[in-house]
Amino acid sequence: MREVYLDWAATAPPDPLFLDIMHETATRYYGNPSSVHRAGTDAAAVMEEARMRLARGLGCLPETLFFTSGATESNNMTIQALVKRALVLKKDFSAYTVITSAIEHASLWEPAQMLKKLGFGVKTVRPDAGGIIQPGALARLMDKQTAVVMIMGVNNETGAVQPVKELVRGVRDFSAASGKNILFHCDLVQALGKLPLSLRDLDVDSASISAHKIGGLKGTGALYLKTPANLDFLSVGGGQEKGVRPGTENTAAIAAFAALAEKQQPLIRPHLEQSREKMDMLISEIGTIPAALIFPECRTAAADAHYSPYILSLAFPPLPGEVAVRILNDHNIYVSAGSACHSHKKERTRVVESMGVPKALAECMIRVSIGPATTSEDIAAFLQAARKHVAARSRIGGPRSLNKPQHTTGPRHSAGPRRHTG
Amino acid sequence: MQKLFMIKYGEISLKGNNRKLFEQKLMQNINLQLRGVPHTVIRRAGRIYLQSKPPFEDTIRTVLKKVCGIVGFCEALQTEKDIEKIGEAALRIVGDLLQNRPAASFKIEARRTDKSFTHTSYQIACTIGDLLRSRYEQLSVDVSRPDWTISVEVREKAYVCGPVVGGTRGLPVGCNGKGLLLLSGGIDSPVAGFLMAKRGLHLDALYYHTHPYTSEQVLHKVKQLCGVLSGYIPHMRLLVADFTDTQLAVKERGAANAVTLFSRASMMHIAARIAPRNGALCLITGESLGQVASQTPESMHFTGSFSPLPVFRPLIGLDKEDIIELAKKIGTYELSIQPFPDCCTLFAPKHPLIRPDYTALKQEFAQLEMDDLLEKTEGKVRIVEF
Repeated sequence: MREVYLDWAATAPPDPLFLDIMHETATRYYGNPSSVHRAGTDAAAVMEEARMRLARGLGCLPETLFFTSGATESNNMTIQALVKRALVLKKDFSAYTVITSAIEHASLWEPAQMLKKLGFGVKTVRPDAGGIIQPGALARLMDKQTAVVMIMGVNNETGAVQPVKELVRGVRDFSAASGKNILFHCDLVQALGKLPLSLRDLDVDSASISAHKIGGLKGTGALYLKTPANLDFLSVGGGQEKGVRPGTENTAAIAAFAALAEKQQPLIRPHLEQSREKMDMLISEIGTIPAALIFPECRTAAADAHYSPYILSLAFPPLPGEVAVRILNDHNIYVSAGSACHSHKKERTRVVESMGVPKALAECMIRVSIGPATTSEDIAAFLQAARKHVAARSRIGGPRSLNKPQHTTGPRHSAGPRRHTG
Repeated sequence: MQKLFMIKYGEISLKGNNRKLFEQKLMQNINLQLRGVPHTVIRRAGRIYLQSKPPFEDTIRTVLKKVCGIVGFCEALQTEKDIEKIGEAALRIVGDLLQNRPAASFKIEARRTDKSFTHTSYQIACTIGDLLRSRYEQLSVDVSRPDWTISVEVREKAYVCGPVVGGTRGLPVGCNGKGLLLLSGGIDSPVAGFLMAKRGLHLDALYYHTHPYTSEQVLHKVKQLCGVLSGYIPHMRLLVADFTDTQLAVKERGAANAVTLFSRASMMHIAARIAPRNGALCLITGESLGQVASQTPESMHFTGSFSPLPVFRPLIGLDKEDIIELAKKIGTYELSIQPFPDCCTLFAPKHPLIRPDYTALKQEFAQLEMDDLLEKTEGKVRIVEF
């Protein structure tokens, strides 16, 4: 049976170009970029060229990009920089407040919770029912203590595209009025290579990206810093990446990352159009499956610019998401679950719960994420399996109780996303 | 002078005319649990000795601690029946012990079954005690609560033994027949299996797999748990029954609040039929009174009625804390608490029946017409050997 990979938001299948460039760079430019001899300087030149190419695509200056091990590290670095600043200035941690959104990826949410434990002020801005952070909601939370605002570009679970430009403008307006310089950090992992992106245009102070989401190597990414001098980082060592991220650079993976980003740049818009068509097909067909629900309920057509046409969240309640994933896996279709049955932790369902979805329903969520190589046949295979195997399994349930008045058994009747009816 | 392990066993010695059979079982189990490790087990004058070579001694110590039926063991030197040789052996044993701690108190316990030996038991103790004290200044004598008890036994040979290391105790696995353990992957059932194995019951384990409603990770966890239990139970096997169709039928046909009880009833029914085919004559569960809704007297009356075989519930009177302590001791706790549930939330009623009416529920179950499905499940069993 053919494998249908619909988990591109988790990681993209490797692009053949990346494998070629990795091989060539690793073989020819094996020197340590910090070494003084030619093997080293050649490797350094390859890396600087990669930085330049990547910067061109992202709409920023090469000297504002720093290679890291990926977005998790990049996100953590910005948070840790805040801790270092407070320590160096010997200021009370409570003098700093971080505003983060309730829909952030764990790689930013968890470090923010760590800040809270350390004594920093941490405020959370909630999304609206559509999973979008409204500038007004952010404005209500900012005050004189606010040091950093951290809001992602595209949500990895719902595909909700955040109005980053408007959010940044709100922060700048508040800064101008209060005289307080507030930094804006943006996790752009799900935007890279998917949506047209210009860091200059977005005007964020820092941003995180990851190579493997566009077909590159896992363990490679970058941190963008509009004004590198604004942040001082915790890790120290050999001074690589101008001291921002010490450690010998992975020249081959970096070169491949930049080449991939460059290759994909002119394809972003055509791919976006193609994906919109596929997502339209997916959304309208899901609408004909009575057992299926889409998150958020207001998402109806992929043409809606508020949602990435690469990501869709849906559910077949009361079937737990993890079970739906296993059923699809049995038919060689790979998607991911928003939450694992085993975890009673809030973390697993935090994002959709923050949109007002009841926990029981949030636990039923699965995520389908597509990429440029996804075909209409892939979508059709998913829909067929969803209809025939997943939806069918969601229709089980005991009709009544013994010795007691009848009670409902699950989230079937709860308020929340709209159940699509044929 | 020859180094060996002297193995002590308690309850077996009370077994009268059957003692030899129990001893043979114990030796057989030691051999099984040490397969792959070069060693020799000898029974000599009512004692079991084990000989091996240096690189394997650590493995042997670990294994002997887990063999049910062993009360304790000590490392001994076998020597000629000569007081000077016995002294040399005692010096060597104490010298080895002193490598791990700077000072200690000790006492000598001497026994002789060979009454023709030159020294009486008391004289042996005095002579060896004096020798040790004169050689090692860091030793002191304490006859009431010594750090080390060094024993000297003069039998067909002379043996000088170091301190006794405690074993699992109980009876050799298999000397009381065989049972089938209903293993879920939680904290309780592995402990229940261990306690019954300790009473000499050989075990196979039965796990009900509900793919896709439970994950392969749970099955992997259950296999790992069996791996730990097989350290105590030689040749343990895991039987994996495909329970999905039965579980779905119970959910579809049964009353919502009785789903758990009907599932457990089905499990009992299937297990009681699989057991005899695998040589098992009793079932073992990890139930503990009142722990959950299906473990009340009323619930267990109902679920237990589906097994014509006796159902042993060794944890019935234990608190959860006691069970956890045992699980930690036998090495299953860390595996059990891995967060992979053995029952999908879909099949867990929000308000399960706690005190079901026996007759009404039996009638209700009969109306579900489960016979064909149960029989089908009995036939769908995979076996994993350990």
